[in-house]
Amino acid sequence: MSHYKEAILDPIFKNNPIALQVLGICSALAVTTKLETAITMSLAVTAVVACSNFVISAIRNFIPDSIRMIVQMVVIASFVMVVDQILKAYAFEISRQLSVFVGLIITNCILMGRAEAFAMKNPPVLSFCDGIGNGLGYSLVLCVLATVRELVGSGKLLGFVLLPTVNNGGWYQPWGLMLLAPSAFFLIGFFIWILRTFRPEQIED
Amino acid sequence: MSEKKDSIFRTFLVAFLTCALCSVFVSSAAVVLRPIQQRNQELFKNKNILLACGLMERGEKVSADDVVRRLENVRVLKVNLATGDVVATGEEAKQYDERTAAKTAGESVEISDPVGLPTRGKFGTVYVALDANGKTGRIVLPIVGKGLWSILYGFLALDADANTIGSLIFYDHGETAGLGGEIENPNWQKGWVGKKAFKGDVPAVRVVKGPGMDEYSVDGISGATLTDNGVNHTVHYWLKQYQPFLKKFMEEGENAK
Repeated sequence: MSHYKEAILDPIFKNNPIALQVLGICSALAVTTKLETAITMSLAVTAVVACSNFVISAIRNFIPDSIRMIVQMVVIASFVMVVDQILKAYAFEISRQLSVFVGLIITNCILMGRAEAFAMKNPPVLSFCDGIGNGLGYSLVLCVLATVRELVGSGKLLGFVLLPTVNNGGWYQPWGLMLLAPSAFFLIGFFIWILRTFRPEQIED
Repeated sequence: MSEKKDSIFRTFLVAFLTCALCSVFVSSAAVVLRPIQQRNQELFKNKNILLACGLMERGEKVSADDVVRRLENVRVLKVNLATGDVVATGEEAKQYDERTAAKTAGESVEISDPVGLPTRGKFGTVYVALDANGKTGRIVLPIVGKGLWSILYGFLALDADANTIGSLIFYDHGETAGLGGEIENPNWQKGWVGKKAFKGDVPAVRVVKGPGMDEYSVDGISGATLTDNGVNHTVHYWLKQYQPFLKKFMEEGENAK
């Protein structure tokens, strides 16, 4: 049992895909200007990485080495397309905002990374848990970034005004840099810094 | 095991089965979800009609029922583009679909202008917004044409004088996000408001670069010259097509209502 628990909980702080494995940075910059899109993206990536890990692990003994990566890619791409279709049906507005980034989940290194590093060597259910865990680790970073960026950058959270901005007759002068991609780099940097202060074993020389 | 696993036959078999199963999975999801997606598309288009008519604010949250209610203040006309005559109104006009008609032989007309489309439907749809007193507000013309990579779908709304631009909206396109995709940006679309569509009888409003702005010019998007050109061709083409209708509509004016 502890195996499963470890597979789910480890990637959140101990082995975070963004902070330690440094995977999936691009989408962390792109979709975190608003909390709403970040949450949707997190759910989508978690679902895809868990499902594709499960399937790849289930067929891992049948996959010939020579076409290993292509088969992984096909499975991942199928799940991404299905998620995209589901979003278009049930979350139309958000799927328009996410536009190309849903399709680009395919290129998110977390998916291939976990398929290659974990699912090819472990049984399906454990791989599924590993997928959930890595998805959660990714989600955590995304939601932290998006909370800071949306609140500081536009004075809102999930679309609700918390800090009325000067433009709308309030007092808050929004920090525009937060809405631009580079700010996410700084924030990820801070996130890693704080994480490593509490977990010095993650520091690499 | 591993030797057998890597045989050429096994490799092809696994590749084939993976592809076959995945494609069944993806296509069944697409087929099952299509009706819901189409309803979303329809609602999205209607919201954009309201937006173009000025009956809805940008960013305003409007429920599906509310959209239907507000659409009651919009008259739908089916127009013969060659003569400018209104051939149908109400339900019949709503049933007409330009996108299908453009692809049907006998229902379509060839396009010789550089809009990037081979044909258009014989008829066009016009949306006329009515204010509280039943007077004509904005006249909304659907426009479609090619940008750089993709077909742009939008609405050009003229004020009641059939010349001043009330709004321009592009709601569907596949241009590069951040460059040509900026045609979807409300701030850029705002630049069209108040410009004049026609100079005399000729469509004159256009996207330009650099200085020399006047009442016919809209500031271009940097890095998106080809999309801008597509927008110009599209807007000019459709203004020309709808010109006979606009003239008749203005002449008949108040007594038509």
